[in-house]
Amino acid sequence: MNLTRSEVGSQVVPPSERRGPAWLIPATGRVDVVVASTPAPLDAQMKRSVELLLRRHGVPTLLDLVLGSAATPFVPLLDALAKDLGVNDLRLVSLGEATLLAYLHVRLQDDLVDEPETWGRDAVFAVEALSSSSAAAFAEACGGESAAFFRLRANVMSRFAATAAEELACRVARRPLAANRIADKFLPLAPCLAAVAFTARRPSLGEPLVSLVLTLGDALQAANDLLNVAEDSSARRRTPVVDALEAEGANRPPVRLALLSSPVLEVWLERARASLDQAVALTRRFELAHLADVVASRRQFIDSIPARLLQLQLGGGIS
Amino acid sequence: MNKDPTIQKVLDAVQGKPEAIKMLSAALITRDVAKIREAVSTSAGVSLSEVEVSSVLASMPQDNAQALAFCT
Repeated sequence: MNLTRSEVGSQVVPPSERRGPAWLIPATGRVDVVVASTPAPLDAQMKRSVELLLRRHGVPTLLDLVLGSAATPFVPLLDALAKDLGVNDLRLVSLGEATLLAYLHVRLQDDLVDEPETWGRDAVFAVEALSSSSAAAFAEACGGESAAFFRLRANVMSRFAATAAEELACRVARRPLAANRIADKFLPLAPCLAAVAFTARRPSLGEPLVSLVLTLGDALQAANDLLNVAEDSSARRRTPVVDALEAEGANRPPVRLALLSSPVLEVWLERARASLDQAVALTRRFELAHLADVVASRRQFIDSIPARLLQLQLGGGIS
Repeated sequence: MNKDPTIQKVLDAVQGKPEAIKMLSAALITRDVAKIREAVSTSAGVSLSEVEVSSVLASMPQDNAQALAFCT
């Protein structure tokens, strides 16, 4: 069945078929429409890029990708903030669409920089198409607040781009990204949350939400660097965690076991927990109760890192 | 769940016990069967046979480039 974008946005999904929040299925449907309606000859690259991304995660659909247990929790964060700010109409589907497209845009851009031969140079034009479609969906949701929203988005994404460039330079120079910049990798999540505030006519929440993403991002990136330590080490990516192991003379295979038996693990777990506590405090200061619950729930994920690392080392994958 | 029952037994034994995970990891690095048996027994109170420990060591992969994308 081929639906137009507006038909997808208004389709009724029976509760029994729902996975994740109610807005997610129509939002992913709209993204599918964006991907499917890419003009030729870019359509083949766009289709190939999305399929390759899904295959790398071992999932058949975008919905499965964003609901995966190890995925960045942007779907529950967006949903919680929308509940806190009372955004519950079709604009929420537009916010979801914009967020999913922004996610694809940033993922494809990152992958293209990391492996240009795999993705092909023309993937840069798919990135442009995804970014533009994301911006259009943000504008649809934010309405009269669009100008202020796009100013915030430009500032945030410029900072993100600067850190991405710095990370690339670090990789070439075989040095780690400064530990105080690791949270910047999560900055693309900030406009997605800020857009909810602008949609709800609460623009003053925009900057605090950027601060929230930076504190939460610090916790999540510390978790990423711990969980990916073996892959980063084997690919010679100098993350702060790999660097700390190196300084201890402990960066030897099997690296996960070296990390598990090193004080470096507890130092970085404590950093993640402290940042997460700050993020929870920030959400509570602005009386965002649903968002506070979702942020606080990541504590369990951080506490499970030692067991997950051991499970990975023993060949069990991540459940 | 892990397909290997011995590995699952080890994972269950140290679940929620960070100190046990640390002791076991230090022992696994040595690949010394006796040290691994002692670490699991002392830290998690589970007895593993030499055959079971050998099976865990045999199935333990070397570091690989398994791509796990946890970040945006």
